[in-house]
Amino acid sequence: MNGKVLKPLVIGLLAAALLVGLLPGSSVDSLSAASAPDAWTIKLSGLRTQDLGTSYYNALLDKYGVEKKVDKKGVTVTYRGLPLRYAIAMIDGADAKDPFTFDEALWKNGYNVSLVAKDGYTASFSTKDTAPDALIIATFEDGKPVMPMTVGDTAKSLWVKDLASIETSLAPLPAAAEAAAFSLDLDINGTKASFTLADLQKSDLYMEAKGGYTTSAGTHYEGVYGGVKLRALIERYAKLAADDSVVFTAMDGYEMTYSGAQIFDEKDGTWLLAFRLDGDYLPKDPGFIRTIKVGPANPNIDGHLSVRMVKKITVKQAGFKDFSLQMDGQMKWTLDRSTVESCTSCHKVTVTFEKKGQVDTYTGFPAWLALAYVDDPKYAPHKQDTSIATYNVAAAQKGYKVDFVAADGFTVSLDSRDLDHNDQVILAMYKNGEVVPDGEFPLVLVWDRNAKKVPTGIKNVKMIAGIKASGF
Amino acid sequence: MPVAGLVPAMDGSHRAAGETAPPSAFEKGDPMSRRLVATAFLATTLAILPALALDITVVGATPSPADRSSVVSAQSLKILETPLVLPDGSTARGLALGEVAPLLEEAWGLEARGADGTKAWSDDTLAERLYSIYLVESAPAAPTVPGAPGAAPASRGAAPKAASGWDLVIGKERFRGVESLRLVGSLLAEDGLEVWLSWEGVPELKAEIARFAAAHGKRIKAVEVPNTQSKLQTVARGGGALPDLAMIQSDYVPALAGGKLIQSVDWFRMDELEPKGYEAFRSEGHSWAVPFYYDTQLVFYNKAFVRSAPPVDWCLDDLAAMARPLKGRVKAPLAWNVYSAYWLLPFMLGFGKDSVVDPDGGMTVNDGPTAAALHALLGLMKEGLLEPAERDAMVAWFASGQAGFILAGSYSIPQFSKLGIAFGVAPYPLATRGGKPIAPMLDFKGFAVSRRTERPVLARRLVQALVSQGFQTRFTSALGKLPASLAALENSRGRNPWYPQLKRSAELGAIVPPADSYTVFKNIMWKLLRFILTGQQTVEETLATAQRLIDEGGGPQ
Repeated sequence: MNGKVLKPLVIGLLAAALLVGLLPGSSVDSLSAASAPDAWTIKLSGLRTQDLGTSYYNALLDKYGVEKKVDKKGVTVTYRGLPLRYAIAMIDGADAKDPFTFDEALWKNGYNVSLVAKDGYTASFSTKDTAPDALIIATFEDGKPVMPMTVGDTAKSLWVKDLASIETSLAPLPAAAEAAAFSLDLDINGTKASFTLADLQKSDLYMEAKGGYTTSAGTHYEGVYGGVKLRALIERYAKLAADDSVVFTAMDGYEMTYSGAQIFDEKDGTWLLAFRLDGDYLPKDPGFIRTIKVGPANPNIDGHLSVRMVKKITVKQAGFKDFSLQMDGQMKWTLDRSTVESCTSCHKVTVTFEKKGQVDTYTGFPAWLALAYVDDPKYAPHKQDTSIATYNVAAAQKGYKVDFVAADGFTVSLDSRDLDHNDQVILAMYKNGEVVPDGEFPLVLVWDRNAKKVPTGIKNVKMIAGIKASGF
Repeated sequence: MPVAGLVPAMDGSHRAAGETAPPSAFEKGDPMSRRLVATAFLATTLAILPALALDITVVGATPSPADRSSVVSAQSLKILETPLVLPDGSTARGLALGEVAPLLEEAWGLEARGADGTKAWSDDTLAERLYSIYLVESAPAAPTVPGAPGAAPASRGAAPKAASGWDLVIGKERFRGVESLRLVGSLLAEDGLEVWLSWEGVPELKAEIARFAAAHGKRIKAVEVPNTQSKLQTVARGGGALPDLAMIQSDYVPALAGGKLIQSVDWFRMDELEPKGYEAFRSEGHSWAVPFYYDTQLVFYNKAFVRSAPPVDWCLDDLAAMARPLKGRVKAPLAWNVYSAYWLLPFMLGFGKDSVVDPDGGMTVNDGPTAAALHALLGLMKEGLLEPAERDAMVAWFASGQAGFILAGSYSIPQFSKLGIAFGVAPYPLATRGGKPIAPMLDFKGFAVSRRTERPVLARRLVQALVSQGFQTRFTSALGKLPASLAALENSRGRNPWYPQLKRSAELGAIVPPADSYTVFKNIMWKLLRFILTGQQTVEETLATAQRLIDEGGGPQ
């Protein structure tokens, strides 16, 4: 055999010998655990998740390892391992690295620990009933290495061989986590909103009442449902008409459409987006949310009408037209329709307007509120902390010019002092309960016929496209 | 619980009205006098039998105050005995040792003393096997001369006695005339189990569980829950206490396993149970419930119209041919819930689908077999033979003689018998002559073990009892269910008049797959099938839509 062959052969043999630990300088693991380095991993889950691998286990074992003598079929067996508390310490708090602090108070308070073997066998205990050092994660049995197992001063059902994971109830179950992450999405004429179940539970639209449905097989189901009122929720964003379509999209992609007329049909009960039944939250199927009618009369609907697993509600109104309002002054803003609608919803005022003997009711918001967008160079409504007042009272009372400009250029100029806190002069989106008609759309400047203060020079301005403030 | 010899379960004497032979003299008597005669018979039988009580002792490795001895009377043994199929294939009357032995956490030794002397067995898994070790009525011992060829060897230190009373059967070994048993192990301390039950037979199941609990001095709460999946998820979300065991069906598995609410039962494999049952609860490479019983789908026919049973190898065309003369005479020559994907699946398989769920876990509906199945059903409807009907309507028509043939679950057998309907059952036909069978769905129910149970051994012992041969024979035959226990099913041969049809259906049947995609498929098809069946859309259009929705909503994970 020549040197060219011999040298690599020797190197190979040396490497092999090193790997099997025949030579000095082998890993510490070969002394403290016959398992090869990182030969196993125990998955831990609690407030955090962590893998307990061989290397870290062995380091802990060297420091904190203990022996437990137990009786196995009449024979005393000695196990060496790491008290369970050291593994639990890795996941019972926010500590993300060594040294991990074991939360003894939390243990005494009580939570569930599940020990899971590779074959799936799982045994659990409550920490209230078990001392933190009762169990060890053992890797030696009478001096011989074994795959990690729990053993100790407990019932034998908790002596779990081939330990694969330790789960605690400190981690929310997937069902709970999924429910917490769920959101109901709304798309009302392009305005989007999302609500968690917690949001809906806190809503002022939440109610509980009895209702039910009957399947096509004739099976009758009923109960006390809790949820938010469907029509009221939608109408926070748009006023429904009978011929509008409300599309429910379920989590599995299925869609069902109700007409506005169906939603208006509440003579026997109220349509709910229900997420509770008889005190429990609905599980994902048929929940998390389903539509149902409820009320004192315990209405019962056809099962097909109860939409399950509702994820999204989309409304595109038949006569829906978009618009924007240009604001110009110390700042410039373009207010979209949903902003104007929100303003109307939150600051709703209805006036009785009379013109040439014709009397109509108009609903909108006080014109002076819109001036907050343009009456100073810094602050605008809903753009900063609510503690900051955005309407510049001083400027309004000092006086500046406010032009209401229609789409055709027609302009009426008023004084800010006449508009200041004058709730009876409004920018209206609705006339006699409906969206203002063509010819007035999108906004109309009107005032109450009995207004205490009618601004000098005010005229009815239709089709308002913008408001300009100047002369500061 | 039927007392052996007095009230047979499904022994062939269970008859439907119109099918009976004239009652015997015994049956003609009033119920009370029949009971008195039976009691006298039993008392006489017991008096003749040796008054043999069986001593069972549980000891630890070393004597201790915890050692426990109990005596089981011959009467108790007699009451508990049922027909059994033994491991060597022979039949006997007896009971499982687990029915009378104390509950054990573990056991590693068993010693028997009796006519065959003393014999001991060592096995670390003994505690898991007590329901597969049997006490059977002794067979008469053949006279032997010690040392003669073929004579049974005497155990050391004892002269062979004439066997009487009970024999112990372990595997293929039989120890004759057992008088005492000594189990080396430790008693089970776990207590306070909660079990959720659902579906049919809950009162009977509760009674059995109560008997088990009383026999072993344990507290076990059995609760009827309409939908165990929903309740488990709801309770888990609310942080409430989960049960230790819950009855589930196959399609619950993905949500419950994925939701970490149940534990894998790979460690609970029992060869004595129907393998398809384990498959029914298999998902992501693990089994998630121990099969308990199952139902299959059958063709039920009205004997007023159908005089002879269909041939074993009949096909769909034969069914149509048998139904055709009923057109105009009844409301529905054929009736079943055509709107349901569950009742469509067998036809999909019969018309060529290899499996319900694709190898990658998805479901394909936009394919030839599904279209062929739907066209075949539409053909029957167009011809005026098949009337779609949901279950309640279908049963009402059948009961009133307004339907000739229906498809229904085997669980309907006891119901129809009670209603006094003159019916017959047949396995599903082949889809086409000489073709594949329309494969009935096998709907398994099983016991899932909670992932958070603090009583895993007691839970396991209860499940071992519930899937044992004796219990399964008692429970399933009374309810018309198919037992997960292979031996219990074999036991019913000759006793259950529907055994041949049930057995054939079990052999042909396909399991309801525990896959998310099946749930998506079921929900989507439930909504879309009516478009086809009402003629609003073509088969091809609807299947294309369905496939798109299935792929979007619930394809392979």
